[in-house]
Amino acid sequence: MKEKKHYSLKLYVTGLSPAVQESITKMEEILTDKFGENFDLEVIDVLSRPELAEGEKIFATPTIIRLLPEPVTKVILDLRSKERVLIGLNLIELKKEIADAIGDMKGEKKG
Amino acid sequence: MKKRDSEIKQLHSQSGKIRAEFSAGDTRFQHFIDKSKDGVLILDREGVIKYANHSAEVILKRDIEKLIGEQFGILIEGDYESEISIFSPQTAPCIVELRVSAIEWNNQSYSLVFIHDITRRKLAESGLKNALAEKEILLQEVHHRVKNNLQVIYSLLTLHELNLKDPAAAKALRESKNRILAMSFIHDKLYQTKDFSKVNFRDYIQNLVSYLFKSYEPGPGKVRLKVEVKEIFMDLDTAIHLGLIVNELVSNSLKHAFPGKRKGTIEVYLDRSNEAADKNILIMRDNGVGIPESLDLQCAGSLGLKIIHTLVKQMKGDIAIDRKNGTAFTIKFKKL
Repeated sequence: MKEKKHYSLKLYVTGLSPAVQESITKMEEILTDKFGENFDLEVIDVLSRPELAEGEKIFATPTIIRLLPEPVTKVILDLRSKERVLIGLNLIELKKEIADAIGDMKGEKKG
Repeated sequence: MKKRDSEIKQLHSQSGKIRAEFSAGDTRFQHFIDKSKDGVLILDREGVIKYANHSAEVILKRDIEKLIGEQFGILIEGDYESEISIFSPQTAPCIVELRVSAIEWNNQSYSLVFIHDITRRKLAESGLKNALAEKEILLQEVHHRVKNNLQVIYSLLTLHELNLKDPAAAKALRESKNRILAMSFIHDKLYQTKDFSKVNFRDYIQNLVSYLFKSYEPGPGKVRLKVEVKEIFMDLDTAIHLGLIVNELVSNSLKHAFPGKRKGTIEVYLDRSNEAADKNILIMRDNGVGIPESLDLQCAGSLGLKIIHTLVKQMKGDIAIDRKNGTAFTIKFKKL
C-alpha cells in the first residue's frame, strides 16, 4: 500500500507543452519547499483523460484540487507567473476555518 | 454523506436567493449584463458559481443549470488578467482571459469574474510567431549563402593567385581577396546572431583585424595591436562601409608603416562622438614611418586610399589625417 501523505493534490492541465511541463516542475519545487516529502501531486492532462476532468467537474485549466487535507479545495491558477502560483498554493494551504474567519471579519467591518 | 447533502441543499437555496435578489433589483440592469459579450460570473469564497450571464453559458459551453451551484474554483483577485483554458468534454479547448475583483453582497464577500474569449487572438498570435520564426530562418539562410558565395570567390582568387607569375598582379589579387573577406565576415556575424538588423561592431572589428594580422604576418613581436571599440551596433550598410575602411587602413599600415626591423603599434578606436549624438568617430593610428607630406589623399594613386575616400564620402563623413609621430586617420561619420 502506498504511504499516505498529508497533502494530496491534483493538477489538471490542457496539453503537456514544454512550457506547461516547465511550470509543473517549478510548482513541484515550490511544493517540496513548503511541504518537504509530505505531498502527492498528480498531473492530469484533460486532453488525454477528458472523462476524469468531467467527473471532477473541471471548468477550466490549470485547476489544482486539494483532496487532502479536507475540505476539498479547488483553485484556478495561471501558471505563467510564479508569484500567482505561490498565492494559489497558499490558498490551497489555508484552512477553511481561517478562510471563513477572514470572510466573517470582513463582513463585521462592513456591518 | 447526509451532511454533504444538506450542505448542497443549503448552497442551492443560497444561490436561489442571490438570483432572486438580482432579479428583484433593476431588471433592465440585469438585461444589460445578460447582453454583455463578455461572460460574467459571481463566485462565493469557495469558488461556487452564484450567478452566470448568458455569455458565460456560451463561453463555458454549459447551460445555466450546469453552472449555478457548481464549484468553478477559487480565483485569485487582483489587477492582472489570468489566462486559462476552458474545458468541455465535447469541444476543443478555448482560451480566455479572466479579470477578477472582490465584491460585497449582503455582508458576504464574492468574486466578480469577467471572462473574455481570446481564442481567435491567440491563434492569430501564434500564426504571427510562426511567420516571424520563418522569416528569421530565411534571413539567416540568405546571410549564410552570401557568406559562402563570398568565400567561393575568395577561393577562386586564391587559385588564380597561385597561377600568376607577376608578383604585382598577385599582390593586387591578395588585396582584393582581403576586401572580399572583410565583407564575408559581416555576413558571418549576421548569420550567427538572431538580430539581422544590426551588427555588433566590436566583435566584427576584432575578427577582421586579427585576420589581417595573420594575413600580413608582420613577424612575432614586431607590430602590436590595440583595438578599443565601444559596443556599438550598426546596420548592415554602415558596418560593411566601415569594415572596408578599417580593412584598407590596417592593411596599409601593416604593409608600409613598419619597414625593415622597425617595431610599433597599430591602434583602432571607435566611439560615439562628443560633438553630436548621432555622430561616431573612428580613429586608426600607428607609430610607423608615416605618410610623406607630399601625398595628397584626394588624388593619391593608391587604390586603398581611393576606396577609403569614396566610402567616407558615401557615408557623408569627413576624414582627417595627422602625420605627426606616424599616421593617424580620424573619420567622423553618421550611421547610414
